[in-house]
Amino acid sequence: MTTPPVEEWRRLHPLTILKEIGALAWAIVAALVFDFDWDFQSPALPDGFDADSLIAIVVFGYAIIRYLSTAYRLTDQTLDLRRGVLFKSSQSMPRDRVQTVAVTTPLIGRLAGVSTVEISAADTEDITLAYVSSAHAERLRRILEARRHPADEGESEAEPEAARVPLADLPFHRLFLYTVTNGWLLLGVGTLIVGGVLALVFGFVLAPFAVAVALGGWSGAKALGLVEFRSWLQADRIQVEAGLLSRRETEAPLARIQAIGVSRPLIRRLVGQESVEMATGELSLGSDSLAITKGILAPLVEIGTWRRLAEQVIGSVDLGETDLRPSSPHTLRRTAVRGIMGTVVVTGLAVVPGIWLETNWWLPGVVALIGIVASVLYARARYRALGWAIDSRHLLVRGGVLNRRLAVVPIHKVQDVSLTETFFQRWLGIATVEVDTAGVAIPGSSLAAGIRAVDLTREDARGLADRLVAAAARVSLPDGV
Amino acid sequence: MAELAGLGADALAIRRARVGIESAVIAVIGAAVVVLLPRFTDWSVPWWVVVALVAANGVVSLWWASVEFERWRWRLDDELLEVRRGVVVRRTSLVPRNRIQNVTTTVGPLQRRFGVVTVTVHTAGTRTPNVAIEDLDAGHAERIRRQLGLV
Repeated sequence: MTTPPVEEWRRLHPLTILKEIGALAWAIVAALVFDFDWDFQSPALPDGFDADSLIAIVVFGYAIIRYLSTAYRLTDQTLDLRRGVLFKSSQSMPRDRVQTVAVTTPLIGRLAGVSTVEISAADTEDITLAYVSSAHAERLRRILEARRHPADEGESEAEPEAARVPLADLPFHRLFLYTVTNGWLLLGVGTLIVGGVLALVFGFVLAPFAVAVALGGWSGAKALGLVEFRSWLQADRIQVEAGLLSRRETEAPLARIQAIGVSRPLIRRLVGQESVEMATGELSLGSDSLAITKGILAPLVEIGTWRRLAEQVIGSVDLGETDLRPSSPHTLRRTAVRGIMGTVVVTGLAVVPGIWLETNWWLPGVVALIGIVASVLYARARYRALGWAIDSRHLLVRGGVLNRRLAVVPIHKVQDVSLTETFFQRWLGIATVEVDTAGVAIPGSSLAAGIRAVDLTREDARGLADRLVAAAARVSLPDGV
Repeated sequence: MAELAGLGADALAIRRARVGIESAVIAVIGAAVVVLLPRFTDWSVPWWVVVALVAANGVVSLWWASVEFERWRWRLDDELLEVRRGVVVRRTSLVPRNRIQNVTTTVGPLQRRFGVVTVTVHTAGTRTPNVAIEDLDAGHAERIRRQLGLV
């Protein structure tokens, strides 16, 4: 089957009406709760016609009109969407700008055979089609994705599908390991311990436990989105599928991947595991499930697997962690001084309960001592964690004490580079290099913290920045991304 | 490789003019406080406090304006645009020319009077803010735009 140059305007799946009614559920609930009454008598109206009936008619009517006024079509150049009852809007997305096409099928949707299709493109607003029949969703995805291979456009559906090359998966028993090794859970346990100590000293019990439960709940919810996670390569696209209640499938062309990130939160690192993430151009974060599965390449793999995954996704990577060069040793002083400054503030705050509890100043003394020791230990751990390496094709940077992070950036994906020297850094003769790509990182992911080579000597920093910029200047990218 | 250039003399003049405007605003607010406070409350502020405040702010701001002005450096060559700025935190932005997506020039009413513009260069980068050269003289800005247009 070939794609006709211009398709007819199509309506969404009729079940969309139910969704529209659902969106106005507040009006129905309000009608039932407030039990509106009126004294409007008219011979034209049937007996028993009351405010509730009117609200029901308005809600149903609005939902149906909204359904009828929403339509989309595919042309050979664009995907068009028109919608709106009172305010009409129409949107046209150039097909060659399409970055990712995500198909989500909620649990009920799976029973009814409908899915939501979200199409995101560089520089324009996303288009969300909710709902379309699952078969049509699949067809849309194939057609929109095929655009990137003009040679087989239109013919792609007739050809046999390219073989799937599996990247990573997350079996159910490892999902548990993923959840308990999550950084949030660590924070939850930490809160619980600190809360326990505070409870013993002050008698507050509830608050820290509530926070701990919330953090634990958050890790649990995050894990639900990763049930039966699978990622694989097909032709030149990466595809990811995950989720229990709503199953989500995302795909992105490999050429659009801007950076690969690795994160190893403390507990995960101790059990020899890591997570591998990616940043592609334009990721919209419409809902939580998106934020969770989008961008994850492998939720839980053995430490070191990142290199194999990165090679599969961005081509051979010659740099490894053994190639990392340390930052300037001056970073030890910078980190320790920062920590000690923080300790001074916390000690100051500890003076207040010290007076209140009449503890004879031992409390601030203990806080100061712990703070100074912790600052020094942290500075040493940070120095060991920091590292950077560059070759003709990639930049590799590492950082993070509790959550060890690693980022690999193909040099030609670099958009711009900035060198920063704070007052204290300048005094120590060190600088930080930050690299910017067109990739959008998921909040909380390893790449969201930024791709930075921290506290290099001034010469190294300038040399690294110049090298990155010169390499980027040599390679032109289609559309600049 | 092009030499790093500073901002023109007009950029310092406009910074001084901004300090002047700021001082005038503080003086007006201060005068209002001095006149109105005793009328409506039991409190009063002596005149010399306002004068001292305006003078101190003026001196510090003028000094800061010249220091901040001095820190600006930029260059545009065949490969890249480099912009340096910042007094306490010094930042150097390096933008390869082939990554520039668009160039925006902004002119405020005061800037128009002094013949300077703010040139902002946008890349597809998603993290760092766009690179801007503030109060660049209009002739240079036009040249940058023309030069970048040739890429």
